[in-house]
Amino acid sequence: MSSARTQRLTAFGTLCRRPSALLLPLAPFVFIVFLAVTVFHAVRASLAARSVAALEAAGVEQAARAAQPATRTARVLDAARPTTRRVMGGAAALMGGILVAAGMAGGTYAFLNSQAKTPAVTVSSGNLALTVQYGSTTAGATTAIPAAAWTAMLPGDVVGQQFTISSTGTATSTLTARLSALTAWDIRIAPGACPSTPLTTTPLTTTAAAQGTISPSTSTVVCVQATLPAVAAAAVEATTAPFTIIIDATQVPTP
Amino acid sequence: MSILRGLVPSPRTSRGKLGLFAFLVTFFVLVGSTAGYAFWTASNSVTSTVSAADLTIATSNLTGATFSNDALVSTGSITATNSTTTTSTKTGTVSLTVTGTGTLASKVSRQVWTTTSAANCTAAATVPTGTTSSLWSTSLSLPSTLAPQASAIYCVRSSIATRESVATAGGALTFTPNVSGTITLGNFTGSASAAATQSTQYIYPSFGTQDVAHWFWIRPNFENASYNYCLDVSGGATTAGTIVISYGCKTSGAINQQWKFASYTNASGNVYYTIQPRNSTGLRIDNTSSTSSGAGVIVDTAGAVATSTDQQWQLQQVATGVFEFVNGFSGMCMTSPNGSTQNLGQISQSPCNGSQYQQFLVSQAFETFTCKTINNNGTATDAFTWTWTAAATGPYHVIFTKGATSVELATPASGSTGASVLYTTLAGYGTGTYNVTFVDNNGTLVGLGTAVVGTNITNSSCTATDPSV
Repeated sequence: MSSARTQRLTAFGTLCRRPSALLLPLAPFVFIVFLAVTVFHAVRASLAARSVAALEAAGVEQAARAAQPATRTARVLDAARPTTRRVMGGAAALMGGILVAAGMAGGTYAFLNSQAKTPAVTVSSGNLALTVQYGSTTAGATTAIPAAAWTAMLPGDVVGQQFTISSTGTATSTLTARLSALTAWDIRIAPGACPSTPLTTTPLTTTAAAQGTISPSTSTVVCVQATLPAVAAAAVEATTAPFTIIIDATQVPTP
Repeated sequence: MSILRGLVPSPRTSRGKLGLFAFLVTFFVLVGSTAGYAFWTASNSVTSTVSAADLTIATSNLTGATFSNDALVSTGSITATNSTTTTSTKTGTVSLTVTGTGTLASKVSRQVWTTTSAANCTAAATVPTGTTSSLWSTSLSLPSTLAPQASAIYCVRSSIATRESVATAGGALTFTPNVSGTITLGNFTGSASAAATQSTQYIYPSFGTQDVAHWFWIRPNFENASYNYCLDVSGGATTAGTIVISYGCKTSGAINQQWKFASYTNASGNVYYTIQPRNSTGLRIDNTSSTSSGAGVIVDTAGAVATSTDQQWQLQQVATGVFEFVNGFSGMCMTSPNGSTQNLGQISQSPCNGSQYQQFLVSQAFETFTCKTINNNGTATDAFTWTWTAAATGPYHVIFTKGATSVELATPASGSTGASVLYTTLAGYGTGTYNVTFVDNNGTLVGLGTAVVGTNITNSSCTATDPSV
């Protein structure tokens, strides 16, 4: 950064640190409020006037009169009703007051500014991409584990298969897993190769459960175990059940 | 009007709305001015299908059995297999229940023991010590645990205590052994069952009241176009070891074709008989202590009655006067030769098969046999009279034959000791010589003679011939 630019920004910073300068950032908001209020009342007043005129034109004088303030109190309130002119006037007075207050608060300000062109740069967005892969199948958004891997299970059987989750994006992400639907089998997953013992993780449900994070350009082997509970119902005997594990990845926000 | 009130703001509500409006605008402006974040997300899925096995069990090798007089024990096997198609190694709890239904079930006991191969379940297999015995009519539970494709094999020995216990007039009893198996693993179950048939054949009630005081003809239960055949001590020999043959029933000199029974009641209370030939009463019909089918039968020196089961024969009554001769040693039936060996062929033994060659007729022989004419001086009571002793297999058929004329003129009842034919009756068929035959109710020729019919009783005569003489 050039020294001249640094100097100008420093001067601006000095100005802003003055007490009276604290009001300046509010000026745009006040102006927006002013415009909004003005437009709102203008439209409303216009609609009201149009309605009264329409009633009068239709000969519904009484209705028209009823639409007009009839009592003294009403006339007083009516006098206080914001009209376009009144709002515009009030806004002008408010703005004037702000300007006067700002002026009284601290003298005259002059903003230093300049422009400088930075060298042309290419801006690109990051991405989050995840693949799953079973064995030698092609990695992709979905992968299928052959049904033969856990066919003809008996109560108490635990069968594990491994698949790989790969992050091919540029963002670290958190992983969750859930089932598309419950079956009579307990489906558990855990990072790493399948152990010879049952996984101790909580069986997956249809509610997403956190499964840790995955860094960009890394892969994780995941063990999925299907357990046919020892107390599986008799009706489960000789049945099949498709299941789908949905793995969601969410980018970890970078500060 | 309400529309107008809504459109025309009142001073009080107007200020309130104005304040709310200003607040909201300010809030959203301030909130909107803070830093904003956008998160990338991705979703992937892994799919598959799990399946549960069908827990199954198979029962096999439950063999049927046929019991006969010579085969009162049968050894088979039962195999229960966890036939579940799976790669799982989970074991199932198996419960086999073995039982039997039918009349015979309560008469056949079983012993069941485990083995490693059904091939071990032979008749020679030794029942392990401690193996209990129970009747097929009761239920026996055989628990085990089986991994998939594993089998539990049991030897099953069925035994009939005595042939008398299963003897029946029809010769056969049946029951159905059943084995039902259930395999359980958790709430999964599978079941199977198998059944077979076990039955007896040709085991008839023992005849325990055979006459032991008289001589009898013994001949196979079939008729020959020419003549009947009888058990015969070959050549009329009187030496031990002489074979017993089938030979045409003699009309004279038939002493080697007549037999006497002697009863013996064994320790089980069952009656057997020894059979001695009339021509050599110190001999007994003997199966030579053979258990081979086809083994020849001889006459041998009488042994100790209690221990010489090879000389013991049980008469099982197939029908009145018709018997199977079941040897006490082998349980096989005395068997007559047939076909080309029917004459002179040796009597043998073979498993009872119900054929007529294993069924014998027992006909009591005449031991004294005489005839005389009774002359009452030309009265209507003039008659030819034959008398005999020991006649219990009647009624007898007294048949007179002359030329083409053959007529049965007397039918004395069983137990009768004589028969008379009036002269006038016989003379009605003409004078001349008539051959007279006495045939018992079995069709066995037990006596013969002649009747010479003259013009009156005084010039008539008769003869009586005992075939054994």
